[in-house]
Amino acid sequence: MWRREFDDLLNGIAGAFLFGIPLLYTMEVWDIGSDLTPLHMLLYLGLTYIALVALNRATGFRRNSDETWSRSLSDSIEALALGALVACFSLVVLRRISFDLAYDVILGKVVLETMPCAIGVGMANGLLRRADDDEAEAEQQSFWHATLVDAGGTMLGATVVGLSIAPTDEVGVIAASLPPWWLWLIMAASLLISYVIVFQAEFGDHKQRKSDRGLFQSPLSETIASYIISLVFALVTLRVFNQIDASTSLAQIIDYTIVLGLPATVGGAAGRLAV
Amino acid sequence: MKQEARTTAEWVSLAIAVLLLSCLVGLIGWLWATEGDEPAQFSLAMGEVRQVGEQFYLEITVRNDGDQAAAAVEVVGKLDEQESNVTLDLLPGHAEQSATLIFSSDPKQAELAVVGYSEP
Repeated sequence: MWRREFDDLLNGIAGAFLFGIPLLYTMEVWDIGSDLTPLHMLLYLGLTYIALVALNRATGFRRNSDETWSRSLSDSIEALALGALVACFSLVVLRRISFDLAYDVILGKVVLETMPCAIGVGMANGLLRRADDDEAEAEQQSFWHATLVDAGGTMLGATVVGLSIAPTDEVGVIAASLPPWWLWLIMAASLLISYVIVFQAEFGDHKQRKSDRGLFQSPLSETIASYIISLVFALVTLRVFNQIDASTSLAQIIDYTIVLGLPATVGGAAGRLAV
Repeated sequence: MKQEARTTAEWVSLAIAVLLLSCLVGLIGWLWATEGDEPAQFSLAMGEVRQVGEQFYLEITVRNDGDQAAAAVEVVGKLDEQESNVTLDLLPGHAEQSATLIFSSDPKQAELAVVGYSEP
């Protein structure tokens, strides 16, 4: 019972990251958030709640639950709270909020980033569901073929997200605000988020995978392998857009790659779900 | 459709969610109650001076004591004939930010002033 509830909540969190990450890396959202009036904050939370009720009628984040109105209404409360938690966590990890900022700035950023994250929670089932025949097909694949398909999906997803974030200023702005040891925190967060998404997509419903699916077989090795691929593709996209070149210092290259590695690994996870 | 009863776990997570959201909404309400309309107003404080070669780096802290945010806050420091300036992109109400002005002689006697800002 507790296990199933925990699974459902993790499922929601995975959805929040998948949908919310692009807007967490958008400077305009931080700036608009810094300037919200309390009335607007309440209004946005209310609007998000209404959207969530509609989403929860259709998909939601709970598996195997009947869709009564009272459940949709209460699930939407939980989705909003999960969205706020994810937004808070991400903003802290990316150093967009800290306690020396004014309260209205912190709250405004959290509220504005809560919107996409909470919507992601509401769509979690739609975002994370692998088709059943996909599993059957996977059973017939050989070790290397399966590995290649998953690696390809990761590269695809990491590149799509990398291409949309690498040319913007956000990576530089975030990287410049971090002390070096903070990079460990970002790496840990990247691995954790990636693991949650992978685990929820593959094993969330207590369905153990029966077949051998190559290097991406266990959630742990899948997480680490996909993180490494994502870091490589983050580096490649940064180079393509001239964010780094021959004159860039090694420290800055590492900074940029790890900061972009977070959305890239989330994109990679989405890519594996898509193929 | 058969109505499935909620499990204890679901009640617990719902209770935590309600608690978190009431905190959030409560904080916003508190902000609303204490909100003012005071336009931006600034105070300046000098920090440490460090010497780099022939130049002196003066750290300053700019504080916005008003309620409203200010953008493009320009700070000018005068020392004898020299003038240094720095512009802060955004300074929200009741927030402070550090910046550095660079002079070519010891800036202990420098005069600092905020000379302008724009509405964000």
